[in-house]
Amino acid sequence: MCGIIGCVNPDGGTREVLMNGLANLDYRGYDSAGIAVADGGIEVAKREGEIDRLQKQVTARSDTLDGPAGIGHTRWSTHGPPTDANAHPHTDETGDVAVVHNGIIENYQSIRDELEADGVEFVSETDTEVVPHLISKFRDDGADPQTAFRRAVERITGSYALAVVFENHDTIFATRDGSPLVIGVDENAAFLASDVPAFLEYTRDVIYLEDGQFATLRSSGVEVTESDGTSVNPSVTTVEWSADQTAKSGYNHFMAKEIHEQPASLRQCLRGRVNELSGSVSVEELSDIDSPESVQLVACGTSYHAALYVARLFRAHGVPAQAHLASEYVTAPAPFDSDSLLIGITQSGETADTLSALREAQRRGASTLAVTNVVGSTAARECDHVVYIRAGPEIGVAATKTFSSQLATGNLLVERLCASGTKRTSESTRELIPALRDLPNQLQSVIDNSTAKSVVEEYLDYDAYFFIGRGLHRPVALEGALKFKEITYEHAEGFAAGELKHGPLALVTQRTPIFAVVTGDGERAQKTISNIKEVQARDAPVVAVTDGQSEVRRYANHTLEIPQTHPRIAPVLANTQLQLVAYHMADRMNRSIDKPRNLAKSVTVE
Amino acid sequence: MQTLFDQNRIGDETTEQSPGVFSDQTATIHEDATLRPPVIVSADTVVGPQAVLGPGVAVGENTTIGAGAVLTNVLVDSDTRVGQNATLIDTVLGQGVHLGPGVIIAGGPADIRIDTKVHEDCDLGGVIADRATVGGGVTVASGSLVGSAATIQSNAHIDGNIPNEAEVLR
Repeated sequence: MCGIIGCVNPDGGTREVLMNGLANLDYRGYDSAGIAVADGGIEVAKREGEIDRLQKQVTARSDTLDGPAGIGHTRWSTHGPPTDANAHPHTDETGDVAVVHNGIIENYQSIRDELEADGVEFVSETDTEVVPHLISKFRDDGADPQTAFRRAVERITGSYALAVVFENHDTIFATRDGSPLVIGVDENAAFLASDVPAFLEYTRDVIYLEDGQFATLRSSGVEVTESDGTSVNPSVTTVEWSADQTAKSGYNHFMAKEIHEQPASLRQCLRGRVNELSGSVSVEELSDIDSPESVQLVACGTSYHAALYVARLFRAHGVPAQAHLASEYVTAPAPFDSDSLLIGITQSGETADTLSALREAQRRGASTLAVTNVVGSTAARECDHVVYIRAGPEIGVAATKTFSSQLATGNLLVERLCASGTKRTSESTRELIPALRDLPNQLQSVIDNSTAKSVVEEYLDYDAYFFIGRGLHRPVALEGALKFKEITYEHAEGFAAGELKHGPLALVTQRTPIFAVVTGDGERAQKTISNIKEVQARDAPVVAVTDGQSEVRRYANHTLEIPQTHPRIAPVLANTQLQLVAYHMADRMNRSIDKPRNLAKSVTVE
Repeated sequence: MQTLFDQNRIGDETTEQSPGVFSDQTATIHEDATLRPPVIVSADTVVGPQAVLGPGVAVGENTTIGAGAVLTNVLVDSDTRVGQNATLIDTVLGQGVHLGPGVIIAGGPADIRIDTKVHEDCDLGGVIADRATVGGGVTVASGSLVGSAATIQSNAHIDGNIPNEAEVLR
């Protein structure tokens, strides 16, 4: 969702930092990329397409494109198609100021009309271009760079993270409101970026800028001020992620790496939180939270599927719980009382839709809890409570390991918030804990033994792919279909198994394979098997994800096996098989797996 | 054995609690368990009450050693479960192995057959490969090798080599 990088480095090497930073940020957008370096005058290079195209242009240029301060940008288009002209950085007419921006400037049209009436010529269709022209206008009025920048920011409304360089200044001015911006500090260099991995190879000491704050980056240090100009003493935190965690480590794709990392990320998620000796769950971050009377969950995309799963767990423990799509929740929030808890699930902690749902609930007095992967993210800072899923950095646009960690964390949450000593829950906790502890190894065995690669060979070039599941497997079916459509570009839909006959069955033919998740051998499994028979009667091929307990193998054309485990844990293992199905299918079709078309990792616009 | 340590799969980031006793801070060791040096207990591992580990025991990550289990000269890889009151001597357990309660691998000299070659008079209790499941009360004769993902029904007696994914009924 647009990535920003900036670097102040008196020793040079700025260009390399910017290009590396853009490469590390390209999961946030890859429609175009560009850099601007202030070395006396400002030199700009920008190009439509992925970063390699910019790299070629930069290498071919005769000027050095290096200097003490520079900014860069990788774009996910919101205003105007991906073209060279619409690529950031944008400059004013004289080229004295260059701006990169992540977010949406809502009142850009009126400002643009006003500037055009003054005779300013715009060269792009973007909302961003008003910023350099505004700054230039205030500079012409005699303002110094910092004042001109502040006055321009006062004029704009919407969401933004902005970074600006000026001619003859080795300084970067930056601010944010509603879009992420993090500053990295080193002995005699300073960095800024939309996300930490951009500069992780240079420093792990970071300052998280708050909404409305301004930062001035100089080689001598970083100065942070509030919007009214009062100075802030920012706290510097050290991030635990290391640079090699954000590299591909020999895998062809980040997605493959992240699927294979799940045993490790789950171990990390559960570390110190489940105690097998005492049979209890403890989550340090939740020591001061009361058991809620009811729960509402808000999330988007994959996190929404995790929310559906967690809502079911709460309901199984007798706590009323509903999962909502965050973008819809804002339009009509569900009623809640003072003992309700609103849980926002967001991998990045920056998802704009989820943040606005959380803010809306906070405004109405609800207690909020963020379930996120990113320490110091906006959701983590703004919510009353936060639980980290500890999955480590996820770069692939299609979420994999963070989903499994969200499900595991959901189990911990429910045990911690609902198991207030009743006999029934303590018994179920005792059964769950060994299953949670066995989960990393069982997931490893799914990855090691999966036949997904050979199964997808049988199903190339079909019309559509449907995924069905019942109960806790319904979120898995939805997630399986989402993953599949995201990276293969094939039509895929997930349904509750029982819902097929109420409509979607009309789509089922011999050209539409059905992926069915069936575990255990209880009533639910039997019902799903009946649904499988229904689709088979319409000649649709069936791939069953099963733990081998039921006789589903007899009815399925192919099976993907998972080990037997606790019914609450089986969805995590079943989902891993569907991740591998999506991955191998996309790989077979030569899709851009880590950067699917039109998508970006953390969606910071509404 | 060497490679597991080289890969940091066992003992990574452990600290020496007392001479020769290394454990990770995330390991949970019951106060009534006994650790006899040299011994290593890795991250997330749980050691139950009255268990005796060592001398010569290295336990990988996220492993569970049940109450009263006694391990001497044993290497345990990660994600493995050792049942209550199991007695293991001169033994290697792979990843994700499940041993039921009261399993006995008593150790002592044995002749070990690997493919066509026989190694005579080795001090090896047994090797249980990755993801094998050994039921409660099973006894394993010295020098036995249990293949990966094999399943041994409870109270069986194992003597010799069990192929991968085999199922042994009592």
